[in-house]
Amino acid sequence: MRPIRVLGQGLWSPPYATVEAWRDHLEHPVDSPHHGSRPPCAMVSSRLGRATSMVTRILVEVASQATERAGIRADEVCTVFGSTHGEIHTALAQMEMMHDANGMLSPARFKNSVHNTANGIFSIAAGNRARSTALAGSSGELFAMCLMEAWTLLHTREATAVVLAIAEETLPLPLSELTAESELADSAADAFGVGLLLAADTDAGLSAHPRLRNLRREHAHLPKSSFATESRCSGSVAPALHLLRALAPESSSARESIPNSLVVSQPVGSSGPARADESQARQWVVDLDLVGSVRAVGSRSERNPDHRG
Amino acid sequence: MMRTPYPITAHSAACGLGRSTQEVFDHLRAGQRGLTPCPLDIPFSAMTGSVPGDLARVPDAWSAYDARVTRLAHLVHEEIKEAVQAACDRWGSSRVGVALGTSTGGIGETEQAYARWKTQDTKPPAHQTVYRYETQHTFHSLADFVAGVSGIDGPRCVVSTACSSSAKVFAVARRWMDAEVADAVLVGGVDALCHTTVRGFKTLGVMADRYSRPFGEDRPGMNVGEGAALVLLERLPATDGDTLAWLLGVGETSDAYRMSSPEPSGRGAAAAMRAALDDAGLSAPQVDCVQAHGTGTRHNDSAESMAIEHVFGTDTPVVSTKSYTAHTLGACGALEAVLSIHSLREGWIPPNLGLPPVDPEIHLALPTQPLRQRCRYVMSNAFAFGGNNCCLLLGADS
Repeated sequence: MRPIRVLGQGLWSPPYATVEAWRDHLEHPVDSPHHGSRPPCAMVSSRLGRATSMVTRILVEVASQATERAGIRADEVCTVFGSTHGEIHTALAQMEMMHDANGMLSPARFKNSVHNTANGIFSIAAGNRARSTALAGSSGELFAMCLMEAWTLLHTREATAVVLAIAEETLPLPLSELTAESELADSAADAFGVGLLLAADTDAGLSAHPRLRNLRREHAHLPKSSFATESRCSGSVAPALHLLRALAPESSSARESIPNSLVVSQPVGSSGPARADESQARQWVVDLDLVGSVRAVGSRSERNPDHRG
Repeated sequence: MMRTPYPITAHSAACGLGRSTQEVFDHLRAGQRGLTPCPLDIPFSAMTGSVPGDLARVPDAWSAYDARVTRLAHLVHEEIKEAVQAACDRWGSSRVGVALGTSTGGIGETEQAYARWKTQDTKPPAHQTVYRYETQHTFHSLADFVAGVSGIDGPRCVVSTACSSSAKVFAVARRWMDAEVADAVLVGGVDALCHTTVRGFKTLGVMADRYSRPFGEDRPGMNVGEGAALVLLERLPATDGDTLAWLLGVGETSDAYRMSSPEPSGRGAAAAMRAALDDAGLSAPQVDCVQAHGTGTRHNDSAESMAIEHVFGTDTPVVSTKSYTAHTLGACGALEAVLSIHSLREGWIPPNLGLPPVDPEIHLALPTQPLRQRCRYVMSNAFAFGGNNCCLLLGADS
């Protein structure tokens, strides 16, 4: 497997406008940091951004942050956007409209109701004509699957640079009541998004060897982290925070101590997929052996025997 | 650069034309339309495509996943489950992946639950015995279900790029096999008829209240439909089985134009077709048929016809099968791949229904009678909201 390089990072959540703001908060916590209620999305005109949801704006914001910080033109990158729930707020708003007098939907809402709305908005705003995909996945697997999609795009040389963005909003009523036991409905969580600019054929940035592993679900979980909770981040985005901590500058106390490799996976909540034989349930995870500016751990010859890459 | 071709070793499909692949092919050959007045309670008239008859519940062990979309998936999986099992035996179940496309997943179940909540004024938890968002609605539950019932233990993902979703899963599968994370991938697409899409396209002013007539003069718009299709891709042809066709090329591009209208000149669509040709190492004159996206809307057909003309000229036969199946949205990429494979295997290209008269601005070769001819290569197009384009190049041999 060819290593991937992390050339740029982005983050947005109501308390944090950037990755640095989030890391600052981890180093110097304040009670209630709050930056803003809507991502600025400077690249999106007000007309284009009309009737776009929070999750779309977060995806576009973190993608543009990561691209800009990598010094790569936004019109040249391939895009991989992921979300477990995607445009669920728009979907429920449309269901409410169905119960109005005429039962019809809003054209502006409907055209922005698809899971790939953020892909379209980013493409239009940046003049980007490259390949673009939108993935859905459980909170446990989504980030790993997005990483695999980005990595295979680079590995096959279908892309030279990929911006990966992942974001969630908390579930709206009444769905949040229906999933009360799930971390997906964590009422303490904020909307959250993370963006990464990934490339392969470069010596710049942090190098990471992805390793795809198929584990019994009970072994596929991240170590319990307090900083994801402190950051008010839950669901599919939480695993990405582990990577962002590992990418922190060496001088930063926000830097996470990495054991052997970074497992980007997430526990599946108690009300997660009800597989017929739960005892045999397995989950795909991606390990990232980080080398270069952070630390060298593992190597291609030290792969886990169940490594399939 | 020419890419490694991958054999297609099994397929299945269901849509308004029929509940099985053979029914779909038979009714296609008979020139039937799989469309009826919309069965949903909607405040306007529309012709839509629904899979005929009742859909069986999913197996009891998977009852938490029971939804119309998973019932459709189960229907098409049952037809090819032996081939899928053979692939799992051949490669190992953890080396077989699932990549599915859907536009709306199980949203119909949430629509029903929401309506009960609104009309019966009961609190949502009261519905928990009959409705589970996480297993009946979420898009990923579709892949979890198909992987589960098929015994596939390899990587799984769901692509949701609206109407190109189940074309793009072919690209995902190929990347997984190129990168050696899988040796076989079950790809496909499933979407069920639901209020959100039927009312949504109506509100955009593109829904036909009668049969659609892709590429026709004064065409009335599109018909929304439901459907499901699965295609099994493997690293190598089966030693004791039939190779149905080959995936030779994929082209993916974006329009960078508007959310719900294609770039009028067809620039992005043409780029995707050219990319698929380059990928396959083929030139345009080698392609025997273009399976158009051909929704029947004014804007799509206009832009797509220009794109096809730019790439192929005006002699290559072009057909839209959406006049038979309706527009099955997230399922159309895989469904139309299956219909393209039928053309490759039978040397038979279906006629465009509802023509003539053809739009005078469109100068394509649009057969109105079945064509019997050698068919080695077919280009199958899928274009979506957000200007998301994906074209597949399928071949009778590698």
